Amino acid sequence: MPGNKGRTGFLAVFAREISRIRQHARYPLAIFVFPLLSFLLIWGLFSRQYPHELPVAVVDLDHSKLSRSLIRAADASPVIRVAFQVADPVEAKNLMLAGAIYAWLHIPKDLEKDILEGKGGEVTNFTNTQMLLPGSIVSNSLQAVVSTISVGLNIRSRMQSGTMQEKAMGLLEPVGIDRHVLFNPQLNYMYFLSAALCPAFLQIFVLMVTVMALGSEFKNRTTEEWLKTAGGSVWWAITGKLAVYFLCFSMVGLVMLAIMFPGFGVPLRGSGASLMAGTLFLILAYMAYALILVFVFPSLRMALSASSFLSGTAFAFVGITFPLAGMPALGKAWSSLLPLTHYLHLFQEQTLRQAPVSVSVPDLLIMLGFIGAGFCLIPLFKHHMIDRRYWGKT
Amino acid sequence: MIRHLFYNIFTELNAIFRDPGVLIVMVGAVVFYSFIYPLPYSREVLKQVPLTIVDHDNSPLSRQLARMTDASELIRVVSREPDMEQARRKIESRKSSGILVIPDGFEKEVLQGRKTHVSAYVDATYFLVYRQAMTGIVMTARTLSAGIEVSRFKARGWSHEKAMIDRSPLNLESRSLFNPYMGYATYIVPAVMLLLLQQTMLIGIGMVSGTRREQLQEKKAVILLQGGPLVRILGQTIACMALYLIHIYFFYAVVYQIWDFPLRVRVLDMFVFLIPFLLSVVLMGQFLATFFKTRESAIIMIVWSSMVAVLISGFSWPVEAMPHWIRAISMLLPSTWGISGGLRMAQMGASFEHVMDEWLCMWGLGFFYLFLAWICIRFMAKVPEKKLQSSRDDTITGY
Repeated sequence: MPGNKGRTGFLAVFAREISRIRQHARYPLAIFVFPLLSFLLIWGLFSRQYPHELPVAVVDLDHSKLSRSLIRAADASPVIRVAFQVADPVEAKNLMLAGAIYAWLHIPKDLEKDILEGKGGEVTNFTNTQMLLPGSIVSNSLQAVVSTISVGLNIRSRMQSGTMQEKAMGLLEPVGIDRHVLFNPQLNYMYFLSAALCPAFLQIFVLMVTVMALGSEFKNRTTEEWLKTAGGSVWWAITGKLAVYFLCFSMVGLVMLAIMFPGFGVPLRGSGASLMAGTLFLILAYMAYALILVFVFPSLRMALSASSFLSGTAFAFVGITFPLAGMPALGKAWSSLLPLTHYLHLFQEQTLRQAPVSVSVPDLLIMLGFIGAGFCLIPLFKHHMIDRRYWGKT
Repeated sequence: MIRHLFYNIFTELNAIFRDPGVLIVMVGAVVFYSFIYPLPYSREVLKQVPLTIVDHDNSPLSRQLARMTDASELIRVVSREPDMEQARRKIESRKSSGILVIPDGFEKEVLQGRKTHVSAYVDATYFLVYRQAMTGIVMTARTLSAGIEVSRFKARGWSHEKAMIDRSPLNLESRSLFNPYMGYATYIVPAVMLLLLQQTMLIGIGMVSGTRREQLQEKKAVILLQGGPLVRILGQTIACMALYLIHIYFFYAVVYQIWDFPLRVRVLDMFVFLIPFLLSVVLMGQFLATFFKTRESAIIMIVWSSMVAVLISGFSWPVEAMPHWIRAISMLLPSTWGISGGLRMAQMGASFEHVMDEWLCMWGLGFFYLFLAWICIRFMAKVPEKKLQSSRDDTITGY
C-alpha cells in the first residue's frame, strides 16, 4: 500500500480496506447509493399514505333515486372511484378479470320499492380478495357508504312512524361494544409498514457487503497479505476491516432514523437512544452473521447464496406482514434467529407502544448474543487465512 | 449459423449445469424457495388471537359471554384478570392481544331491558391481530345480542324481523371472489414465485457471464459462445428458457398442489402466457450481465431489486397509489406484467383476452431488452474479447 509501507496493525488494515473500497464501484454503490435509493423509493411509494380513487364498477338494475344516490355517495368517498357503470354482472366480472376494477357493487331490481314498502333491501359487493389489500380497503369503504345511506333512510322512516317503533328500537342491540384501540388509535399501518421496510433494506446491504468484503479476500487469494498488513494478528485483520463497514453503515443507519421519523410520521414515543443503540446493534449483528457465513461456507458464492436467502426473505418472517403468532413453529423458530425480528420488536416498543426502555433490554441482549457468537469465531479465521485449501474458491 | 446456435445452446446449458454456484441459484433456489417462502403464511389466516377477560359482573350471563368469546375461532381466552391494571400488563408483555371488560351490573341491565355496553381494548400494533380480535369480539356480542333481542320481542308479541329492517333498511352483503377465505399465502406466494423466476434467472445469467469475464481476465481456458451477437444471444435465451419452462411446470403442477392454491386455468395456458415473460427476463438478464465484472457482482443488486420489485409490482400496493416515477420504473420490469396477468389467469381464471395488454407489454419488453443486449454485446463487450482472441481460439479448438 503506497504511503503505508511497513506499518501494520488495526489502522493499516483500516487504510487498506478504504483503498479496496475505492477500487471497486460496487462497494460505494451497495453501502451508500442503493440503501439511500431504497429509502427514497419507500418514501415515494407510501408518501400518499393511503390509496385513493381505487376503481370499482356498479351494476345498477334498479335505476331509482336511491340507487343513483348510492352511486354518488360511493363515488364521493375518497377511497373509491366509480369507474364503470355496466348493465350486467358478466360485464363487471370481465372488468375484474381484466384488472380494471377491485370490486363491483350490485344493486338489485326493485331495491327502492322494497325499502319504501318496509321490506328492507340488500346490495351486494363482490370484492377481488386475490388483491387482498386494495380489496379490503374498497370493501370497508363500501360498507361505510351503505351504512351511511341506511342510517339516513332509517331516520326518515322513524319520523314517519309512531312511538311503538321507537320502543322497539330501544330493545335492539342490548349488548353494545365500546371499542378502544390500543397503541395505534388512528389505525394507521402505512407509516409503520413503510418504516419497517427501511431496516429490512439496510440488513440486506450490511450482510451482503460484509460477506463480500470478507469472502473476496479468500476468493482472490489475498488473505496472507491481509494478515501481514495486520501484523499477523487475526483480530486486527478482521476488526480493522469490519470497522470501515461499521462506520459507513452506522452513518446510513443514522440517516435512516433521521428520515424515518419526520419523513414517515412514525411517532417516537419511547427512547430515541435505545433505538439508536438498537440500530448499531442491528448492523453489528448482521456483520456477525457475515462472519459466521464466511466461516461456514469457504466459497464466496455459497456464502453469498446463503446471505441472500437470509436477508432476502427476512421481511416475510419478521411478522410485520403476517404476525408471528400465526406462523407454524418452524417459521417462528427461523424468525427468532433473525436480528431484524428483534430490532423491529424494539422499534415497535419504542415507537407505537411507548414502552419503558426495560422492555427493550431483552431485544438488545439477544442482538448482543448474535454479535458475540459471530465475533467469537474471529480467532478461528486465522487457520483459514493461512491454509491454501480455503483460497480461490469461487 | 445453425451450427453455432446449437453449439451455443449446448455450451450455455453446460455452463449452467457444470457450475454448482449457478445450479444452486437457477435450480436449487427455485425449488428451495418454493417450499420456504410460503412457510410463514402457510396457515393462511390468523386465528385464536389471545384475549384476556376482566369480568366485573361475574353473573351467569357474563360467564356465558366469556364462554362464547372463547368458542369463537378467531379468539382464544388465555387469562382472566380481576382488574384492568393486571390485564393491561398482559398486553404490554404481549401475552395477550386484547381485553374484554364486562362491567358490573351487566346481567341486571340486560334483564331490565336496558342497553348495556362491554368494552373491548385491542392491541392495534399489528393490523391482522387487531382485525381478527375485534371481529371476534363484535361477532360474539352480536350473537349474544340477537338471542336476547329475539326473546324480548317474543315476550311482547312484536316482530323482530320488522324491527331489524327498521333499524337498518339497507344492508350490504360482501362476497369475496377468488380468495374466499382471504388467505395470506394465496395472496402473496403466487406473485412472489413469479418474481423468484425472474430474480434467479437474472442472478444465474449474471453469474455465467461474470464467470466468463473473470476467466478471460485471468487468461484461463474458457468456453465462449460462437457466432455474431444475435446468435449468441439466441443460444443463451433458448437454453435458459428451456430450463425455466420446467420450473413453470413445477410451480403450477407441483407447488400449487402442495400449498393448495387455486389454479383456475390449464398449465398449458400459463406456458403460453409466460413465454414472453421468460423471454423478456432472459434478455434483460443478458443486458444487465454486460455490467457485471465478476460473478458475485450480480447477487447484491438483484437481491436488493427483488424487494423493490415486490413493492412496486402492484400486488402488494395498488398501482393507483403509486407516484408516476415509480410506476414508470415498474413498467420496465417483466415481473410487473407477469405478476399482474399471471395472477389473474392462474388465481382468477382470466382468459387470454383479459391479459392481452400484459402479454403484449412483455413481448414489447422482450424486444426492448433484445435491442439493448444486442447493442451492449456488439459494442461494449467486444473490446476485451478481441484482446484475448488467441486464448479464445485455443479453447474452442481444445473443446
